[in-house]
Amino acid sequence: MQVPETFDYERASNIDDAIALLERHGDEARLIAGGHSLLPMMKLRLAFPEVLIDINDVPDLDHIRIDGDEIAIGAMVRHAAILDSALLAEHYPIFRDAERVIADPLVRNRGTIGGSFCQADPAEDLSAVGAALGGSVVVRSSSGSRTVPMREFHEGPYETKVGDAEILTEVRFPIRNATGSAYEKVERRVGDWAVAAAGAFVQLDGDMIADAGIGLAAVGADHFIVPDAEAALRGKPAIRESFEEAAQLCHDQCSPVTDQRGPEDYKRHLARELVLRALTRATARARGEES
Amino acid sequence: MVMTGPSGGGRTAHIGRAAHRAEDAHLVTGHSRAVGNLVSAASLHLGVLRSPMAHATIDGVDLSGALALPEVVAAFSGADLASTWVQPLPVSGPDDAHRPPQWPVAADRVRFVGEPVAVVAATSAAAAVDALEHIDVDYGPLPAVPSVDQALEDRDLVHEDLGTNVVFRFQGQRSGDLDAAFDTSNVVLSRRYQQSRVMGVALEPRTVVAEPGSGGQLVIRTSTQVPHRIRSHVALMLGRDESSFDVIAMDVGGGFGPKLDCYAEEILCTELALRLERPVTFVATRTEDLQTTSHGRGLRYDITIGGRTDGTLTGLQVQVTGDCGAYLSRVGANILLNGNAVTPGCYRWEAYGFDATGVFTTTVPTAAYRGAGRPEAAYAVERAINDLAHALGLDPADVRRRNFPAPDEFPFASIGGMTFDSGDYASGLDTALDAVDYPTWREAQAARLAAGDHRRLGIGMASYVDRCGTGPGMSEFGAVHIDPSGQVRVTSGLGPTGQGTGTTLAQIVADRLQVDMDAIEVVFGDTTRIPRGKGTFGSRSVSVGGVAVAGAVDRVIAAARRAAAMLLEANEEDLDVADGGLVVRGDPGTHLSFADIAAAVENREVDDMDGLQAVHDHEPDGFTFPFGTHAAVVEIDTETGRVDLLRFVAVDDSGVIINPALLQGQVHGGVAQGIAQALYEGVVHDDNGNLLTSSLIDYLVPTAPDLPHLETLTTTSHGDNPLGTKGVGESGTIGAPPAVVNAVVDALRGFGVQDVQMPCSPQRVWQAIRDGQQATRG
Ligand SMILES: Cc1cc2nc3c(=O)[nH]c(=O)nc-3n(C[C@H](O)[C@H](O)[C@H](O)COP(=O)(O)OP(=O)(O)OC[C@H]3O[C@@H](n4cnc5c(N)ncnc54)[C@H](O)[C@@H]3O)c2cc1C
Repeated sequence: MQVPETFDYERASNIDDAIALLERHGDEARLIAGGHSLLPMMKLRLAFPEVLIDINDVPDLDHIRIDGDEIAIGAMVRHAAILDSALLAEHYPIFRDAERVIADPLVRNRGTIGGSFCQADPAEDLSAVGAALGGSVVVRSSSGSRTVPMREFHEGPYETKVGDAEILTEVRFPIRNATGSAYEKVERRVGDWAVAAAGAFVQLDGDMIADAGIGLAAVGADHFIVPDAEAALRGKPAIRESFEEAAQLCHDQCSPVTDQRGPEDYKRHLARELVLRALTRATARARGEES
Repeated sequence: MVMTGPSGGGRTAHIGRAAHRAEDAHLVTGHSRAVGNLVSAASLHLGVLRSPMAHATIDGVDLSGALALPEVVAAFSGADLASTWVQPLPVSGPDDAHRPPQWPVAADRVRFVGEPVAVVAATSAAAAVDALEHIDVDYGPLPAVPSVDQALEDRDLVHEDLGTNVVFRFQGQRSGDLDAAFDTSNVVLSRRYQQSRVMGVALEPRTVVAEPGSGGQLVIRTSTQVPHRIRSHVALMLGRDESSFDVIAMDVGGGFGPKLDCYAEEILCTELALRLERPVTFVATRTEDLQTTSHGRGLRYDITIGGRTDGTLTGLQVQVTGDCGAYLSRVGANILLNGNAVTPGCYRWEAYGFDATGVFTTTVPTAAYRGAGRPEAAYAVERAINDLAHALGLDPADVRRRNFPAPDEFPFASIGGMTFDSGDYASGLDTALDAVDYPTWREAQAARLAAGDHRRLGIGMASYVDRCGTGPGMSEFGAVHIDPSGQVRVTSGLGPTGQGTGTTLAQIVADRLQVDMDAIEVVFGDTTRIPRGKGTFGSRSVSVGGVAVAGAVDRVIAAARRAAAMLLEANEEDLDVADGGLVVRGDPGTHLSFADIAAAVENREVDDMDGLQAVHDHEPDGFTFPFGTHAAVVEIDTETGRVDLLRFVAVDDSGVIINPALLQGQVHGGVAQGIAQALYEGVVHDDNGNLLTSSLIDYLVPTAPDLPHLETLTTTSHGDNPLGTKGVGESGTIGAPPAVVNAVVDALRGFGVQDVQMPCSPQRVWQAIRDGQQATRG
């Protein structure tokens, strides 16, 4: 039997309640959202929280909506809802690309965007998507909400800006014109974590690249990004040579490690190839040539 | 007396019909009798402390922490239990093979990660897991020997007292003149084909409940393919009479070969239940199952193959080296030795030689896995034939076709020493290539190459002949009983694990008795109700177990005929089976149902008969030889290395088909496992002998979206037994791996690639392309 160590269980009824429970139980308490990262670690006895605070009953965390000039996604929005969202597909098809290759329907029905961001696994696909798009993360504590820029949210593997008695409530992405986005991933088996993955966002000004974002998963890119590659794209013509240059910078500047999913040189090679493909497809979408 | 009126109408035959599985209703409505569903609240739970080291001395085991816990009823180290075992687990193999004893709990030395070191019995499964954290073990680390190459150096020894890591060296066939064959060849290739090591991941992990029963018998419910063997092994190890135990295996959730072995936990639950006089349960976690259930394959084939420019195959010389793991398992040696007869495959050769070497490593023992030596052999020879064809500049299909025995040469004496019963190997190949549309793919392949497309196409094929039933000595028990209500009870010594064998046997019986399937109950897996049985393996269920049941039905009909002749005052020869009974030919009014006859027999209206029943043990006098060709088309993204299987066609000849839906299920499952080995699954150990693939996150069992639509076709020859069946359980794992890997290599020949080791993961394919390009550039 694969059983976790003994723990206490609390069920939060709203956000303030969740924060109060976190404050009461201190740093041995953990929030549980979809549980698809936390429970496996507990069952393998790699994590031993003394108290689980379940936020599945907390209202007002499951929206995907336009809020001003941003799209706001509640922390408890499940992978499956992101996959199905027409709003996201319209503005940012990168979500649909990524969700199609995240885990399997069972995991997607439970796992949440908040959990994915907070888990901060270096191979987390939604973190790479977020990094490509930019935007911000809303974090709340008993003293109120604060907004953290997306690209500062992740501090390193399994580390984020969310403090002990804090909860991520929302992720926000700016809505922009003439953009395209795409996600490319190589995995060993359908539903597996990435060997390497790349997301790209491109905003065009005629034939030129006005702005671009690249997010990389599983290849050891700090904050999931390679800023030099993005800078190299801005103001360049949206053609293969520009993409190749950016892809080469990603190849050179990421720092993957050899593991069960593959050796370092292969992952580096994939970073280049997948960035190239993602940029190409994102650009085709920005031009309306591909859906 | 129940009267069943003659219906007069003709009946549809049951054999050949895709009857629905009688096994499913209770499985899908929550009434499965899987062992884990039958655990009583009173049961204790076995926790097994397993070695975290691949190789170490055990210098001390302190159980006091565990014993101090209120939920812990008992705890034992290997030393505590050593005097309990009367003998180690029985093993087979060549006479001169080393057979170091494997005990249920290691006492002084561990030899693989996961080997039991201590056990607890606790009041709940969770308490058992917790208790293990309170046991302290002192290990004295020894060098791990996780690979065959390291083992062959004989520097660090798995069993010091043996002085070597070699388990056995076997000299097999020497047929024809190999030197002459190679001398007269235009091309002679020497190649190594490495079989990846894999695991038979059953849906239901190993699970045991041992429970004191009535009359002093201990009931052992276990998830096994071989209930009678478990009873005999438990009895041998504990030095008790077989009759002290009733082994029950029902609704087993998958076997695939590894559940042919008796495991430590089966012995341990039994011993602890005897000592503590309480039920004791063990349910393996997925990780425990992956770590400690026998692994399969892992053989290395070094082959020298010769051929002539016209495509004639000349000589085949084979050296197999096999990783037996830390101890020789019951069938561990046989997996290698099976290659002796089957490696020449479905071809004519002028000369053949075979040798095998087994070695110990500090890994879990290897044993049978779906095919047990035949997939390993077929993989090597089918890869070699493709490589030879490439070297000769010939189409691999033509080389195969040229060397098949012709249909009129059957029975055909193979150079491996077997006589193939029947077959038309060329028709299997042609059917497969037609179905896959071979010439069109070859054109598309050339077009892609010419266009410089980074997505290359590859077409692969593999032809095989299997050897099933496992031959003389492998008898099976069948019995049929008809009661006065018309209920037909069939008992069989098989040990099905999900194949639908009950439905298949019912079809055979229904046909012969001309009764409805609903009237038939099939019982397996209970050593008290079934006196003997060998179990389910070797694709033998229908061709041996089915024939046994058919024989028993025929005897029942003969007995019924005798009884009815007396009751109707008719001649036995004038009685025909009709509509669930017997009738005097030409006189429908005389119809007596089997129920009527059974009632009369039980009422003693017929002399000398004790119930309408019969037993038949069928002992095959030879093997059956299914055959076929599998073909695969792959598209490879040469930048990422990803392999996309576009088409997979399996053409199998399994003899007469009892139930086409169940047959297709076997082919689908086998092909899926074969594709899994080719592209996804593979056991990985690190240098310290740790199993890196110890969860299903890292051991990549594919699921439906990883697999293409599987196209399955059949041809039908007649197997050499009364039902004409041959066997189908293992053809998928035999045909699929070489077909897929041949396709992968075919796609990459242009890069100078000769080989990609299974599993052909994106990374390996990419690496192979890079290495090939570098080698070509010089
Ligand atoms: C078989 C399998 C395959 C998978 N494959 C992939 C894959 O291919 N790609 C991929 O990206 N992911 C994959 N995942 C991970 C999956 O996406 C998880 O669901 C996700 O990583 C975590 O989301 P969750 O809601 O389940 O988080 P949980 O497991 O509930 O929580 C994870 C962590 O986040 C914290 N947390 C959760 N919500 C909040 C919040 N609102 N505020 C603050 N802290 C919070 C928890 O305390 C915990 O530390 C896979 C998971 C499984 C089981």
